[in-house]
Amino acid sequence: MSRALLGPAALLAATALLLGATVPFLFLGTPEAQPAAGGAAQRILYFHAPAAYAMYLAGTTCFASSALFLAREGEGRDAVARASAEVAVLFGAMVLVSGPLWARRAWGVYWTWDPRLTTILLSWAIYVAIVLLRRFVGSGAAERRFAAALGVVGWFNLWLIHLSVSLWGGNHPTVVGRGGGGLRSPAMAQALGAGFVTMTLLCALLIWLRVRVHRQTHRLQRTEQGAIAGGLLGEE
Amino acid sequence: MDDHANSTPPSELHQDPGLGPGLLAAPADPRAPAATADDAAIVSPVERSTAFVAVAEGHDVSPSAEVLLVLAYVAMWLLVLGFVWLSFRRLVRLDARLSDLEDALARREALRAEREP
Repeated sequence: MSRALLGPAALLAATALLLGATVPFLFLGTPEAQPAAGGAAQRILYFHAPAAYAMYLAGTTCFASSALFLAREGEGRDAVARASAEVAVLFGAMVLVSGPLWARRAWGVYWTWDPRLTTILLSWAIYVAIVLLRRFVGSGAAERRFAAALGVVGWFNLWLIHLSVSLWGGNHPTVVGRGGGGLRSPAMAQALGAGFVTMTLLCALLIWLRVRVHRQTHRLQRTEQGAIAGGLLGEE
Repeated sequence: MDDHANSTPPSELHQDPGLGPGLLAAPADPRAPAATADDAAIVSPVERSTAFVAVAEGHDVSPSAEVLLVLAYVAMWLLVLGFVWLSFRRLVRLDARLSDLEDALARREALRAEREP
């Protein structure tokens, strides 16, 4: 195995090990929460909240690389911005799928236009817009800059998700952090902690994977251009 | 498991201090009489359904917590697996195409070097 792949391989092994240990633990080793918190369905939150945090991580990576790209254009920065927007879409989808299933049990409805739910949907739509823009509109200089600008704007909305509960209230629970009552069982806290570590590793691994896809795509495009210039390939 | 589910809109839910911050519970109806074991057995003919009528707002009974839990985990990890599988498939195709092109370019360069003294 090449040295460049050692880091990602170690990351993959650590993520797989942690995931393999966490999932059985949270199903079998954590106590059931009170019925108003969803009862057994509350265990959804051990990966729902970390997935939201991983969306913030990917969104922050997208923001940093987009801002750097706007300051000085570069293929690497563009690849990281695009990859992290894609990973933010994935984690956002995980949040938006798992949250309503918990809410159905705890609130009696799958969806309500609660401030936090609405702002996370909006953020997810921003990252979906970046991905669609880069996928279908093209990779010209203007498209890259516009996508980078969206990546910067999208990050401010992530703050709005975080602050929405304290600013506007709503139904979304705040259990951990300021104003929260906390997890009243050490096993619950351990399961949530393991969820956060797993999602952090998974987020890094997926961003690396997508960056590699985009870098290889750029490399192929350059090679094809060289082949066309050398008469090996016809222009399409 | 206790099926506490209800169809109360979240806007009508109240904060229950006993449930911890941020957790919501349906308000208790003070007019409701206490249920007894005999209540279930006494159903008057007037109350018995004689037809099926569609209602605008369904979902009176929540799906089981265990079913929702399994559904959530299956959906979340299917999304991740799908993402990883699509990315790997794309990467394998890119690597193969790149390798073919680089080999073809190298062969061409070698031929050119042989022809030119």
